[in-house]
Amino acid sequence: MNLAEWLPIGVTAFLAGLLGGGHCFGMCAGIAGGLGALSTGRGAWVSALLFNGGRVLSYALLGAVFAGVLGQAAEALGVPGWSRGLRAVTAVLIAMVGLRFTFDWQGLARIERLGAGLWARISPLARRAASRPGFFGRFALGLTWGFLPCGLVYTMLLTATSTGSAPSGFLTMLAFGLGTLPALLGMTLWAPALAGFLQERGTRRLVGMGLLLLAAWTLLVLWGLGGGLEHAHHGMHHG
Amino acid sequence: MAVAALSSSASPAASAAAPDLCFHCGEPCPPATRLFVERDEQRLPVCCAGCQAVSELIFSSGLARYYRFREGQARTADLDVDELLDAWSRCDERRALWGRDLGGGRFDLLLQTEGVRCAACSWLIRSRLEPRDGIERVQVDVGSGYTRITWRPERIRLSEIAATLARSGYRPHLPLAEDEERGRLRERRDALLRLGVAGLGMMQVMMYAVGLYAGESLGISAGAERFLEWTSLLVTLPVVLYAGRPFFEGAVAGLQMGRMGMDVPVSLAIGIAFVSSCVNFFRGAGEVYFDSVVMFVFFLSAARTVQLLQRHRNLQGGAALARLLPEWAQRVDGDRLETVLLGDLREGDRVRVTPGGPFPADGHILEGRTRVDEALLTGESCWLERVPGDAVVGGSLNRDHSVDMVVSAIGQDTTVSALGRLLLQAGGREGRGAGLAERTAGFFVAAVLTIAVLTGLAWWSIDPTRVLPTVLAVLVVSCPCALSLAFPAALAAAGRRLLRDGILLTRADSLEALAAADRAVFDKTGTLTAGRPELARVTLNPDHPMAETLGEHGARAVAAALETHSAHPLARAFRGSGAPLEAVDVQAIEHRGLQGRVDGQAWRIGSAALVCPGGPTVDEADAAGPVWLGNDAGWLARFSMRDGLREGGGRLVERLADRGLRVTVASGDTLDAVCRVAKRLGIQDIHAELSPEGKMALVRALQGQGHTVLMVGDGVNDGPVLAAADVSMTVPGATELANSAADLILTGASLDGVGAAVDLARETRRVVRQNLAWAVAYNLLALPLAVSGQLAPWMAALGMSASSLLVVLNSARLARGCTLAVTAVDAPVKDAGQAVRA
Repeated sequence: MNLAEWLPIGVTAFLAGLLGGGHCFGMCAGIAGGLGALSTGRGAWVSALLFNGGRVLSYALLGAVFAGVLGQAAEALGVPGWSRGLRAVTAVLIAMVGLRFTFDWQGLARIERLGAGLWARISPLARRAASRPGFFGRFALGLTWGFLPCGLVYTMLLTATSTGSAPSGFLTMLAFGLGTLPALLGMTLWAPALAGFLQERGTRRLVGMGLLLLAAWTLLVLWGLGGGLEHAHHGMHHG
Repeated sequence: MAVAALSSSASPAASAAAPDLCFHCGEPCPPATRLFVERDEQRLPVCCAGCQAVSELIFSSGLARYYRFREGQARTADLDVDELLDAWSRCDERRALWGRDLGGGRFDLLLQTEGVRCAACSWLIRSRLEPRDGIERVQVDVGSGYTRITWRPERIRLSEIAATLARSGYRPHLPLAEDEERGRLRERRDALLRLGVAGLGMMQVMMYAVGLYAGESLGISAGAERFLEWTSLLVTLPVVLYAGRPFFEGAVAGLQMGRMGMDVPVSLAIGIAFVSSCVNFFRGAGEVYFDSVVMFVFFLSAARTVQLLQRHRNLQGGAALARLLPEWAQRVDGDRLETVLLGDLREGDRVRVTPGGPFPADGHILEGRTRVDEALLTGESCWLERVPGDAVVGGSLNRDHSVDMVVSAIGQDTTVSALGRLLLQAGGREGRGAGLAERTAGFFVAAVLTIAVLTGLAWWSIDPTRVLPTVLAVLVVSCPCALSLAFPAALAAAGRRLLRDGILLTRADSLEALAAADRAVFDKTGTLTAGRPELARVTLNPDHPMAETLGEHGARAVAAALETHSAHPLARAFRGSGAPLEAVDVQAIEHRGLQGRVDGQAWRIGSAALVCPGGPTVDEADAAGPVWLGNDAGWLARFSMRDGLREGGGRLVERLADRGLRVTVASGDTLDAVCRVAKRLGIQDIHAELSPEGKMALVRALQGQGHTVLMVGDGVNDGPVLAAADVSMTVPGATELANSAADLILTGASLDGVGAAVDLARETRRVVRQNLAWAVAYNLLALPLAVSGQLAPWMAALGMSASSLLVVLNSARLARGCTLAVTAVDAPVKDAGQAVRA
């Protein structure tokens, strides 16, 4: 997968993180700062940075592992039409994220259940990290955070997996993680105001529709219609 | 980060009206999910598997205190929702408080919500309010803490809205200056919306652009390429027309007024790039620059937005002031207490203020004694003692005991309102420095346009295909954004910093003059002195039978006990003298003093005529006249008074001398009195017995010798001289008139602020010079590259933005720097503490 092919997916991932949703604020924001201040009494900022750094890293590593394993497996099996199918899956997943933002569609929440088993295995580690004071504990807690049952993270992980190679999976999840930073760290100069803007329904719809278009375009190209200029024109005007 | 009020889900009113709220994140639980967290035999509802996992993790790691901590941060502990609900229910029927009538039974309500800190707060407020019947739309402005609610009064009561906010941990307040706030909110929302559109557009177009560039090398199908170009064009359109509109409007407005602002080259660059790209696109030949256009618009909007937010942050002091005054007051009516709306309070009303509560209006203490906390108003960190007769300022906090006060000023006449107005004015004024920058930029713009035209002509003869990219790069790279930001960004940051130190900057450009000042002229009375008498000397009468037993100390204690019952200004001088004694049967004797019993002994205190008719005559020119203490056995003690000094005067004179400012005192008082004060402060240059015209002549004379003069006064008799000086500053207690004419206003009682302001002004001047130097150096470097065709338009956009951002960030240093703490090193510890507080 070259850069030009990856970029739409990367931007999708970044936007998905950026617009992640109010729910993430309530659920995750403040945890690191709060726990940090509790256990060390100071350095809430450093603590939050470490926690979020760990979190983003865990996303990226998960993306690399999943996408890498899938890519290797496919190569070993030699599935015919593999890369085409994979791209179709990516497009469908992007469309699902688009639906989520355009219509507040909650279908993704179902994927959460998939992760409950995984989390059960990780949670003892998370518990140890959480009860460990100091900065290393915060970073370790962040590392376990990637495994929390969360529809959005899992969807993005599937998207990253569908890129089919470890580097692109890593980059996709990294983009997603970086997208979540403004909201979760968001106390900087003007991030609060911007984060407010990102939570506006209008913004979310606009981006959602953009993602739907992107997905549609990918599918069109896959089915060999992309070469036909006229079809594409009509698609755009309706958007 | 402040999040939910956890207690709220337990309160009966909340659970009856809404579905269960998630214990962890505070969002309503979807009805279908039945997820719980077990805690102390209790099943706490959570909304999703994620929250369940996090919550279980927190409990099982023994960190349950996190929830209490979080709650504490939201300051819900302070909020008594029932009391608030009760108080706000008095507003339910008042149309005036419903907000602006939008017609059709809808109203637009603006509330100041205390405790809003971040985007999560905004989200929480919206998710709590919006589902409620009768509420149509909720917007929270995180920066200023304003919440704007579109609602229908026939469906929901105002008090319910207030209670919902309070239950979520945010205390609602009515706004102070509603119209201005609305205007600013709109301005900010517009700017962010434009920035958002430009930002999202940029991401999309750049994505397609990379696709196009990659396609060139990898071989993209013609159809796909055409499609990507179409998409770019469609996305660029709203970016140029909507996000870029302020630049076009600014350019047109400037040209109509005969000015060439920096909007002109910006608009030209955007316009030329967009139009030529469109032409090339439809022609099907030549380059398209959609990516450069969106990038340019985005970066410029970002710089503008940052500047706007900085400017608004300066005004947030005004917003914060609105929170100081309570919405209600406890009016004492005979022996009845009733809660009345602040707006219904009248001058002369008697009001009871409980400990911990704010004073609702300006006035005087009638009964009781307490200490008040004026930190939020004046930056004064010590609690000040207040007894009957003392003035209290609305918005200060009552700390110790319940007191009764009589209201002397309400609404727009209160100190808080006056401060708020001054702040708003300060934000609205364009500084002289900014004007200068604007003019420089105009000159600059003309130069840039000339260079662009010459570059275009030159390239036309060399290689006509490269005319467009080169001209674009020249226009973009040399956009004088950094130059025109150099002044305002630094002044805005400095103003914000000063405000934190308790200094109001009403004219931003006055910092330039303050930095240059080499002479400081002080008024004496009310400026160097606090306008408050203090005890200078006690003379005991050795012939009095009690002189031996009581001594000087005892005499002061007796006087203090008696004077506690007096509201006379001189009585304050006795405060805190000696061991506390109790005086009984105290009676005031009209205009002359008091009599009463202390330790069973009858005493009289007051004028010589009262205490010792025929006693020793006044042999000394006392500013405030001596106070005598005595009884039937004759006079015991004579207390000489002098005018007390304002805090920090001595330190200030040293500090100013250190900075090369020569200090002069100019007073209308007698030479003797002025000399005494000047000697105590170490001031050598003394001018006494001056009329207001005399003071003015003095300042003019100094200016005539080429000095830049800083005048510090309180406005009594020195209004004109404040205006005549190059830069003027007023002290607390100054007249309203003087304040409105002054460049800087000290709100803290100590004079340290003068030194702090001088230091910050000099720091600001340095930062402005750095900014200008950088802007010029950048252009000298970038312009040749652009002219010679080395820069692609998008590189130019990046360089220009980086340059502007650097200027903004460099200026922002002023707001947090630590100049005050550093310069206070040689001062006494208390002074340093004062500075560090900043």
